[in-house]
Amino acid sequence: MSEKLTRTQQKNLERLGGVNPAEQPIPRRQFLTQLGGTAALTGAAVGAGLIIKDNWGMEGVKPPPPVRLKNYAVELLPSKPSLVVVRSNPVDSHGFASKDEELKAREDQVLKMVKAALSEMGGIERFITKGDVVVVKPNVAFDKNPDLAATTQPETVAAVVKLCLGAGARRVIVADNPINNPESCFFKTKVGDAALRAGAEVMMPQHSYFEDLYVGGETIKNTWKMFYRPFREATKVIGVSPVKDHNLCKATVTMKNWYGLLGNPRNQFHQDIHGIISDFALMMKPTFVIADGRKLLMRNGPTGGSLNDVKKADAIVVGTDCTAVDSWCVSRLLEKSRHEIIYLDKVIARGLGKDWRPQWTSEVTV
Amino acid sequence: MVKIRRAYEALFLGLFLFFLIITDLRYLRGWPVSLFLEATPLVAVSTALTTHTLYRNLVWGLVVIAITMMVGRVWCNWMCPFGILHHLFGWIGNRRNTKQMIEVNRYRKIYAIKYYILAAMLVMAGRWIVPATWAAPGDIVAAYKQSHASGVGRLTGAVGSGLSRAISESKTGSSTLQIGLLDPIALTVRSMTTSVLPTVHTATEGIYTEPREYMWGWIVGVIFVGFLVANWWIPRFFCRAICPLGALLGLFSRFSLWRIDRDPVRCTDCDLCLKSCEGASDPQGDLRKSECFVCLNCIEDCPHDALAFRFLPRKASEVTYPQVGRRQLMMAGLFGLLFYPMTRQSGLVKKNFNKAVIRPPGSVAEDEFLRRCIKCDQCIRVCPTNVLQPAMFEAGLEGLWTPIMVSKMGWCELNCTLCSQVCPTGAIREISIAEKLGTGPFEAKGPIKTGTAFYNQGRCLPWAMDTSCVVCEEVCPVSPKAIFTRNVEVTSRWGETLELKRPFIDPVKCIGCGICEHECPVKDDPAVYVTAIGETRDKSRSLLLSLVEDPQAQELVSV
Amino acid sequence: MNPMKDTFIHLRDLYRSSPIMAVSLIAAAVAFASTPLAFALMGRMKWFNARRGRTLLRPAFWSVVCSMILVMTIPAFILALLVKSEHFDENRYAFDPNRTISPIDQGRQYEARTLLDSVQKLDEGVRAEQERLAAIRKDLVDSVKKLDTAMLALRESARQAPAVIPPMNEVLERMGGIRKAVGLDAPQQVTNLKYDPTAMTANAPGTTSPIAASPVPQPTAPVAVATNGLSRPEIDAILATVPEPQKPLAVMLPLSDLPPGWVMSKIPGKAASPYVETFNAENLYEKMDGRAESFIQNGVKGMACCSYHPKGNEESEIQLFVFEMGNSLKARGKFDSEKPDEAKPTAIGEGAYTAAGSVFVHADKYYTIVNVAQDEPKLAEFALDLAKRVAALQKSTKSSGPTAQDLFNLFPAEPKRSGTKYVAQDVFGYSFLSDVFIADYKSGDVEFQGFLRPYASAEEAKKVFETYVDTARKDGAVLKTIDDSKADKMVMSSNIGMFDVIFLKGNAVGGSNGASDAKPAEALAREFAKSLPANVPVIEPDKKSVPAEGGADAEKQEK
Repeated sequence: MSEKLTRTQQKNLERLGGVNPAEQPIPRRQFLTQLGGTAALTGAAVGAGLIIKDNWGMEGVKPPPPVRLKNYAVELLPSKPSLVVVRSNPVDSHGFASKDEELKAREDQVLKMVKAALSEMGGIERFITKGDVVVVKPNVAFDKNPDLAATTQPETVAAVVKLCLGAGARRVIVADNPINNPESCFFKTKVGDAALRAGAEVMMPQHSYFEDLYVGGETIKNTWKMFYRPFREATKVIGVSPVKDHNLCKATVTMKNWYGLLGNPRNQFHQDIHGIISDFALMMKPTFVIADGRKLLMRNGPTGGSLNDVKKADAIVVGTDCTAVDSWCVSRLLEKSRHEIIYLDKVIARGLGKDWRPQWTSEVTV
Repeated sequence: MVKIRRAYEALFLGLFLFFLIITDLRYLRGWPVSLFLEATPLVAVSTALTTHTLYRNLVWGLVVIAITMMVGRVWCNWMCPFGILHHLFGWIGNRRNTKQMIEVNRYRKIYAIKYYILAAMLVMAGRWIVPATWAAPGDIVAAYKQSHASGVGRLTGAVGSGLSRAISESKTGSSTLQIGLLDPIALTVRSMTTSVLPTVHTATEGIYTEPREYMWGWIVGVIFVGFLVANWWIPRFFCRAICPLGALLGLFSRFSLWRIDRDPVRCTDCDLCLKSCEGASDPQGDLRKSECFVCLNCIEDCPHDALAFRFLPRKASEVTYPQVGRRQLMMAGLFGLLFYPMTRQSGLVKKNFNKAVIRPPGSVAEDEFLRRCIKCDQCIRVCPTNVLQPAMFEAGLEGLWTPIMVSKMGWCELNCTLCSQVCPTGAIREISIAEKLGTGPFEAKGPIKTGTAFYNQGRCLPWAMDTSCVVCEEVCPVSPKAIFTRNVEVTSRWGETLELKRPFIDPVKCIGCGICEHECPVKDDPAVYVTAIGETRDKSRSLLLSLVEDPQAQELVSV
Repeated sequence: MNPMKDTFIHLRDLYRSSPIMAVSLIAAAVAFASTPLAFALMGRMKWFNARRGRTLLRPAFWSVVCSMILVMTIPAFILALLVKSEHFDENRYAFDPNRTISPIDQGRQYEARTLLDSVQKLDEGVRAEQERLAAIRKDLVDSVKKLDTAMLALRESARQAPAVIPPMNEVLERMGGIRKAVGLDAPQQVTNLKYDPTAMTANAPGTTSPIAASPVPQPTAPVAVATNGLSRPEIDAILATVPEPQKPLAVMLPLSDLPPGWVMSKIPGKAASPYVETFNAENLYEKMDGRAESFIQNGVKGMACCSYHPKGNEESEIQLFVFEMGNSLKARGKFDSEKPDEAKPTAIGEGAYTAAGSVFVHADKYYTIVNVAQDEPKLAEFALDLAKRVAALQKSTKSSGPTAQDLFNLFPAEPKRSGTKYVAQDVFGYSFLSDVFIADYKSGDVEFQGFLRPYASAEEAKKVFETYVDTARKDGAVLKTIDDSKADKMVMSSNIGMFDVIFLKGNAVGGSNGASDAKPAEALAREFAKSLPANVPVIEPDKKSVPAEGGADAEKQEK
């Protein structure tokens, strides 16, 4: 208080007890905490800012590292056939007391057929081991009744699921990204219901379930958004597809079935349909595939819509190579010449698959 | 000290106006014209929230944060051009006597509004935390299962990688950046660009070579003028009550080591310090630290030298935290939380994307764009052809005043990347001309496309009216031309044979620059027009399979 | 040069280019430098003394220093900005196409700085390569332009010669591909003109060119030539379009002198060579519905084909295919593998049969198929005639070595030997077993196969034998060694109800395969081992033959 105080100021001083609090030295402890706190926080703020600094705006828009699909194939014994055709007379729809009974009979028959085919190839144990997480990929692209043969037959899906669970699979996930509304598709094709009853989970696509998947092929040179979520944990993959006509690529069997994993805008792939289908042979190495040739959509594919387009047959084809299965199905079931199917030629020319050979095939009748 | 402050105010306002004028192809050179936009910490903080990165020069925002944490909100009265403008306007319109001045500069409850605005906007920007929290436990468990480490390392590693996975997964498509609506710098630049400068130009003809026109620019102007005039009602109304940047700095200034301190002995409670207090921070009592603009006027005004700017004064004589109502804050947060899902109802980002939302070249994909763009319209300022226009609701409520290309107004100049150069936040990523044209090292990637042109054959002269034209082919800037013609011979109305060249588009070559639309003689509804489909910034909007962008190609330098 | 002078020169240049910049630079620098001086002076002259109460006080030393720093910051800031404004990417404003802008020039790359050097080096290389490619591209474009001009004249003269028109059209079509690759627009008048041969002859009746007088290849216009079929010039024109490797094959096709009533069928969509198609191993699949694979396994080199039909009846078509296989053995192998059960042997070439009217011939390394659409005597007769004509041209280059027939003669005739065949690859599904001679046997109800594979050396044979045994064991077969004095080793393997017997004798591996009963399989193997000479003649799959001692024996046996 070097300078002279006015009267008011002197009163103030008296009121404060003769000590000017503003001139009191601050406690050492407060000094240190305040200084240190500010320094630390400033440092932290600036440091954090510098850590996330992005010089060219590229880090922010960099896509996450692409995922790759595993190879889900299993090695077969050389003496075993890699393609098995099971034939069995279709269940006669008459002579059953109720619809349920007929369904039951059909399911039992399919179960027997698939089982027979697999045991011909070395048994289901060869493919599915205890604790496996199996993804079953049916083709439920359209919300149509299964009798129209535009989608996978529900009994076949149920049979595969039951066999997998019976062989000790921990989880079986049935997943597809249909063209029509997913809920409606799984409901009307009866695949959803069949899968659930057989004990599988049904996984429908959601926006967040799609991830960039590396393919590195001919049409997808790098990555594409794929319905990847079901494959995250998967150890085995089984494709179950119908056998049907397709207006553009001429046949939809096991290979085209993987189209259902593509995310949007997949409609662009119709600009190069054969290229994309042959890329699937590179992308996906399934454990095995099943082509359900009990109902064939002979024309107006891939949607069909009339029972006139459907032909009843008696075969289920099980194989480890999509190429061979497709080749067999188009020539033996769809009554098309093998050369019409350009994507198969492409796959073979690229060395991604082998055409069907009689010596690796066996036919069984149940 | 007040004189020094005035020098700074003059310097920064002058610099701001100088930068505004030279944001022009003729003068731009290497001037850091977006310096002010890059220095607002609000942009740095909120874009860091939405993008998890800090784009280049936004580090200047960190400098301002550091300064604020040392000496308080000096930004508001020393550097902020909008604040300085308000200061100036308040001074010009001041007709109050000393007593009225003292009364009008007291703190009012409404000054807490800015904190609610800030809270709402930051919640919008940080909304990804919600889905990330949902996803985190699952991701942590998954990471734990995949991990090969053991013991504590496994657990911490799993928590770390699981968290980062959850965060990066929920980054896209769950937050939006609306800070630019009220950020003072973005607001000023936008107002200047779309309304003040064009208005000044019509009076002086000295700013542009050719007058600029901006649809709905007057709305921006009215808001701007409204905020300035509000100073005559309450001085620094915007700064005290609205400014979210001020609110953010108010939070940071809580740590400041220096502040104004009142000597309770020397003070005679004359309240003269309030006479020209800018921030309404109550220096006559316990200082509201978060409100003080550090204008230092009170020190000069005090007749008894009772006020001083001191290092670490007593804690007891300050109001450290801003006074906000918890309920209001929660309401503001809730609004911020719901705003994003509400605006995305429009579907304009994904399925229902608008054909008119043609973003300038170098723009990132729409979702990312809306998480980066602060609507400062600096790109619109620098665009030499007037093609860039502030959007109204074309890009949805979120995209208000974001830049879109309206080809009737101009066209995207082929050898020009100025908008990408000035963008402060990387919503338009900085690109080179080589990258835009897809030459040199970018040969494999191809040119950057902003859209694709289409013909309306019913309005096209050679198609519908037997008249030769093809101006569009002539002006098409790419090589080889994206517009090609086919010769046809038609019989005219009078029976003569006419040879016509009919134009077609090659979608592989078209980059969507819009010069064809701009030059089309059918002016009102051009016979050739550009829509957003085929833009390269988003894979899902490509038109042709062959042009789907290769994401890894950008990473390669040139090998 | 001393640095002072350098700086001076630099400043002088700057002044000359932009005086305002230079002046402001100098002013800012002077202001910056003089501020401390001014502060020191003014502080001494009591300029900074502040009022405190009623007295003037000297301010604290530190507050003077702070003010000085604040003041000095202003010119420093301006200086920094001025310097920054001179550093910019000139290329952004004046894009120079001659200079490839590397991403590093543009500051585009964002990798770690340590990578910079190596990236720069790589970039140099890439830039050089790009320059080279750009030069090539320019040359290419120029050449195509010149070619277009030259083609105009050629096209005009082609108008006069109908035989040239189809290949000419083909050439014009191919030019489109070249133009697409180099990005050059087509001159409209070149590609727009499509010729129809009949229309052209009608258009140009008055031309006196000698070529124009040659007959038009239409069945309705049998002009000058007396015999049926194509004329010599036509055949020459067709042969000219055939790729060189397939020429010898195409020559074999009978195109002229057809019996009356028969005409060649046109292939739709092939303008250049409307009657003959040729393929090599790579594109064989285009013609052969899925059978191409099996031809490739047998080393197909090429194929030529054409088809015929009776005049006015295009339904009953006859297709003629001539394949050139890897060697005569492969031809034989393919021939055998396609032989159906109901084949009727015929004496053409080195072996032939007819089945349902179609004729299959193999001679030397050629395999000829004449397919008839309907099993009618008239068609079959012509098919046989065609096959003979083709086979006559396939002169066997008879060598001294053993033929496949020699080896088949080594097989035991009993029990009931039926077909014999040669299989090139993956015999019985085993990848290691190839080039095997197989005969079918039937004993009672049991059908099975005997096989024989001679190797160049005994060691090789032994190795294959062991591989076979190992593989069988791995597959879970039950193995039983059979004692047989004639064979070196003999093993029976039984798996899934099938019995195979395999033996090793000298340089050969043989045995029986696929019997459902053990007895006949073993019997055949014993018999086979007994009858086999100690050294079996070898036909190396790639070389024509290797003379072996046993060859003479075999021939003797044959007689």
